[in-house]
Amino acid sequence: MAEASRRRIWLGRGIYAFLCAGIMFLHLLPMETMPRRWGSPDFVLLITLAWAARRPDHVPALLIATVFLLSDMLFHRPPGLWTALVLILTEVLRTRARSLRVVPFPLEWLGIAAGIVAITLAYRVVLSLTVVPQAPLGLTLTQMMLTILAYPLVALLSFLLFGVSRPAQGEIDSLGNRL
Amino acid sequence: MARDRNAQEDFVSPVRRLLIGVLVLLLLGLFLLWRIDSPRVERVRAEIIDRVVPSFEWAMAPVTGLANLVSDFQSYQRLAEQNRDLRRELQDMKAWREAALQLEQENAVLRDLNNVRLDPELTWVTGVVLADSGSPFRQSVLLNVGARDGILDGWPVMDGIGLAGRISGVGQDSSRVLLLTDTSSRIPVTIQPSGQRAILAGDNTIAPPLDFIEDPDSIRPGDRVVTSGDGGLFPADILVGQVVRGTDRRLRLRLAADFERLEFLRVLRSQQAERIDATGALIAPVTPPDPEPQSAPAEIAEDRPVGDGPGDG
Repeated sequence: MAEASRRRIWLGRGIYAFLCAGIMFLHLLPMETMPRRWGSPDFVLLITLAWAARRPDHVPALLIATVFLLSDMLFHRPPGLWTALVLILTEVLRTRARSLRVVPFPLEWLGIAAGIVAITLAYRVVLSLTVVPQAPLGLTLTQMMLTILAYPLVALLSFLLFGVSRPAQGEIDSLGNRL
Repeated sequence: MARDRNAQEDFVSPVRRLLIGVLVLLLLGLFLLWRIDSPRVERVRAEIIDRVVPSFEWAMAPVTGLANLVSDFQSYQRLAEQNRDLRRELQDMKAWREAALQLEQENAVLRDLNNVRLDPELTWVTGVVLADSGSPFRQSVLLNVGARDGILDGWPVMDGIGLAGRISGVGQDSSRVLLLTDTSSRIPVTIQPSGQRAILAGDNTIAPPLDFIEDPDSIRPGDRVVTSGDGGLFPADILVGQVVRGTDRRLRLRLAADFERLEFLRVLRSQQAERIDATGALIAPVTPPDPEPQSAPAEIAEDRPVGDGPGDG
């Protein structure tokens, strides 16, 4: 019994890591060498947030830190800063996971949106405080908006494909622990 | 409610919170370290990319090929239209070709008269684009040539026609090219007929603006822009593009390199330009018989470095 539960958690973690690696791989494909006017939604962030709000045990902090640090390195972002902000946000979500579960979906969406806005602003503020050259504001804003708009889609897909649902109140796993 | 709070406290134990805090501090420390000592962290970054990306290569090639196949197929649909365009273009090109041949002959004759020796050091290494930067905020690509092939930081990169960017970050088997369109790219250029110097400053658009132009009135859209070689950054006279007037009335550059599809890129082996620092030595002998007369010629020479005249041509 304990074995089954643990296997499910590790399977969740594996799927998460695999998904993130896949998305990063798609981003890296050399198909777009023209500069764009708009930023596409940040799907790695969305998956991380959706899973942190719904199944916190599938996304341990260390895994999140590894994934985002790797993407910082690969995508030429200032290393560490974005990772730290995302980590803080997921920790906040993790502590609120139980209360996020009982509210209707629009409220959950609103909470996630507030989190994304907060870390995006914090990121830009820290970068301008440390005088790091920044991308145009329009690009950041469109990416933020699209990321927020894409959250329901990601939540739906991760529910349909990977069964990341919001556990009902009082739902228990095979061991009898509360989810 | 009471049970709820209990469960929550159980879940986020103080030890865990402490560990998370330490992790966040470490990450912020990494950011500060990067801000303070960027070259060292960037070297680590190049090392990581060098490990990670080439291991994806087996998967990248087919997927990219498939995507290109799809876009090629879309272009087949416009084949007739394209054919007509191409034929018209060919007509134009024939005229140009004639002109070019004549010019080439004339050039050869003049060069012969002048006894010009072309720079034999300007050779290149061609690399294949492995990956792009992966984010809309950075404009760079990764090449499959690296320190193993003798690539050095700062070397210029062209496609067949024009300048595309410069090497920034070299791993063992891969190197990163900072494209001209990136926000942190600054290249000294010369605008051809008027000979004015300017800085080409990338701003994440396909047509980067020209900064620090002394006399914008003497520049017309269509002027050729080449690298100026100022500061020993690049070899001079590499084609960069043509001046256009942007929608915001600024002078911008239409890049000669085809940024739509960067596939094969040339890394020019740019040799360190020989610098002439000792101005006096050119006029007076290096070891004059007595030290007194040396100061006078050095002063004269100082306000006009010989052999480094302005590029008026």
